[in-house]
Amino acid sequence: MTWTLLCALSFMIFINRYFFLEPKVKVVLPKFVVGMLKYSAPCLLTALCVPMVFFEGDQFRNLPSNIYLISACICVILAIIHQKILVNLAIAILFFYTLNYFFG
Amino acid sequence: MPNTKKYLELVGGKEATFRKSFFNGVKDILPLAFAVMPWGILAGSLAIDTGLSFIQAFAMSAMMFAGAAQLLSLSLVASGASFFTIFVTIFFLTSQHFIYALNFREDVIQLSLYKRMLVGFLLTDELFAIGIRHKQLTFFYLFGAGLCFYLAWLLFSLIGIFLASLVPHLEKLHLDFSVVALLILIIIPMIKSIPCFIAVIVTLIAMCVFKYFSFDVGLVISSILGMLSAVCVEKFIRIAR
Repeated sequence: MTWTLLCALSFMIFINRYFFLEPKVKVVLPKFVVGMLKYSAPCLLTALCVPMVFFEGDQFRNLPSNIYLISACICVILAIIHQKILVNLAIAILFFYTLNYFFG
Repeated sequence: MPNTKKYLELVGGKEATFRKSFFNGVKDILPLAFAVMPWGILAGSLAIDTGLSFIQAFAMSAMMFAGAAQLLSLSLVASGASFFTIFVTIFFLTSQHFIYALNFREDVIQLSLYKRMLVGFLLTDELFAIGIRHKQLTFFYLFGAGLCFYLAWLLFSLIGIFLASLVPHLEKLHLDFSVVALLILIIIPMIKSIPCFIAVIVTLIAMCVFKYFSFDVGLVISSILGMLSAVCVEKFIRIAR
């Protein structure tokens, strides 16, 4: 990892983040793309979760014994029942580590 | 009465002082700032283990400020990949930031260049996750949240750097579940319609497939597939009515 690579990667990531925030970049989006954008948050955040829940590194986790998946399902149920984020978070994490302790 | 207008900005239709916006941002991102602890520690310790100097390892977190990108680029360096391979791979891995910026564009584009660049630098997955819940975003809200998260990232990276030799198997602690739980708790309230539900399911399946075949650009492609499905379902529902 040379300083050149580090600076190049940092600059590239910054440009990825800044590009569409620049007013001089004219963005004319077709109507259906604007329609798509309102779903971008749930889709992107789901895509971020999936590797952590279903995969161990590059390996697909064994389905019946996938503690991440079971705990994630519990978390989904909790989120549907009520909206208290911190309480749900505590319960979900507690559940996860309890399962992990007994079956992990 | 002193003119306090210049200390106010509009937050969700109500006037709020810069200070209030700033601390609202901090408050909202705090759970994620804690949840990112294992990633920060891992990024710092892996940098040292890959052979970076202390300054380089810290500079990596300070300049890149992107957990997944840092971890992947370190593995690529360790496996002897070329400059070009690493650059292109990380470009695709971080391409979702284009979509984040598109979502925030309307609010951020009105700010001065300096403030825009600051928001751009601080625009991470986590800042997007909390920012997207608001109809209108202000500079001090984004700055408060972004800065808080940045400092947390630097702190945890530093801890990882110092503990490098003592952090061999962090993955055994399964600390990444806290991020999963938080993301789920943010996503579920967003699902308010059938198209949205379909979007999430399609993204989930597509991402599993792409990850299985190790497509780094899978994150963006699966999200786009999900977004497309939602728009199609929307149209179908409208026609069916």
